[in-house]
Amino acid sequence: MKRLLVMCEGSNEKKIMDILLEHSCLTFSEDDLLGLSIFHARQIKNNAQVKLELNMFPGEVEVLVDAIKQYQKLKGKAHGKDEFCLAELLR
Amino acid sequence: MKILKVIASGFKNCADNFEVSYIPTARKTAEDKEYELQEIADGLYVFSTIGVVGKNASGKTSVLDLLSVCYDILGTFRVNKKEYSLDGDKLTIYFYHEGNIYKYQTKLKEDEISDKVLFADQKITYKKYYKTNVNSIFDEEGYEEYPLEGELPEDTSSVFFVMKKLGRRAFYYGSFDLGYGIYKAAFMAQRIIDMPDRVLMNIIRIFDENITSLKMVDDSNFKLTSCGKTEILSDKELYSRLSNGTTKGLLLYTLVVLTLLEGDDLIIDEVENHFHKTLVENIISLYKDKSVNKYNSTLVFSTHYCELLDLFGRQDNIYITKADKKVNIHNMYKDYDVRSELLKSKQFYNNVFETAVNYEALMSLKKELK
Repeated sequence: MKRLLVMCEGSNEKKIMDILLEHSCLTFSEDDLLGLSIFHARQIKNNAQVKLELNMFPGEVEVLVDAIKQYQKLKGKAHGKDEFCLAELLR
Repeated sequence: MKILKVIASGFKNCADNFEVSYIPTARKTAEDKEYELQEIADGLYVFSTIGVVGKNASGKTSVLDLLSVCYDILGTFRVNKKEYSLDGDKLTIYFYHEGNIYKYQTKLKEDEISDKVLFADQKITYKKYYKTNVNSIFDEEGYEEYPLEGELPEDTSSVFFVMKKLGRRAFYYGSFDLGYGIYKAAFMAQRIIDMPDRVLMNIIRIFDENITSLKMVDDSNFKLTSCGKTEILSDKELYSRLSNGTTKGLLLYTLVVLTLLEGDDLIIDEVENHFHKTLVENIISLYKDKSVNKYNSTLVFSTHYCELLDLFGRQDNIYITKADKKVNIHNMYKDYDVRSELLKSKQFYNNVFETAVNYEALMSLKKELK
């Protein structure tokens, strides 16, 4: 089964995402996540914990970078193809 | 209570002022604080994991033995004689406990009659921990003598006056074979924390999916259900029935659960022994994940498997041991100039730390066999 790797660049973003996840406000659940966690990581290659989790999981991983991008959308800024808007993830 | 630093002189074959620190010295990034470090007091961080690497017979186990003795002192205030001599060893242990930094110094002396080790020349000093002094916690300045409220038997450390109560501080999973007793040890560990049977079964399922139930009947008999068949087996029979990896994994993972739930530290000698690399990675990841490691447990392990070090986000929690006339310990961050973006394992194979296996010795053996 495919797992989601969700990475937040900042600790505040991660905290917000953790709260949303805990209260089932997101389109995915803890069970869908790689390592059952949202990660505080800027880049896969520079984060040892993300590398550990990727090493352990043998299946396909979909990567979602930086969970909080809604402010960019509100300001009309484009975001990268693997970035996402929080609004799109809310149930 | 958390150990911050240990300094030993005369311990086994280690050089004098042999030092192991749990305190980070390199820059702490926000990601490090999330995974690599634990905040035990405001601004005071210790490592989530510590790795010890080196050649065979370089002194890795000596580092773990030293820490084990220190945990004994801080937990039970007593040390039993070991298979190696502790006579004349001098120890200095810095530890954090309830808002204070303590510095405990003693000289060990083996009792001629009992199996106990006696404590001589004991001294405890302490100072209040303030965030503003986080960079000078080991400086002599500010330490004052801790008042000792009475006298204790010689085989009891005066750390008792600080800690007041007996307590486990760490578990040591050595590379020695526990034999049939390993199952009893695992179930005893399960009972300490009242670990539900389903958690134990989760552990067993990691190693052997055919087993659906394992229960302790008495100290040396166990009820095993495997492939739909239930049997009562003695520990000896169980030892021959289960694989070596399942047997060792049962105890190790039970200790992992126990230490994570209780906030104790876990010391593992040669973590890769008998286990798939993924299992070792899983153990490391559990100690780094604060949603699991909620009570500041630290994993200290030795390994020959230097690829594991690529999974460390820092360098200052990696120690390299080398044996010449004496065992010396080096910190990867303090003692080597290794660029952080380079793979640590590659540096090992490039012999940057002088830990490579002696190639000439290997070829010499091959030549003999030709």
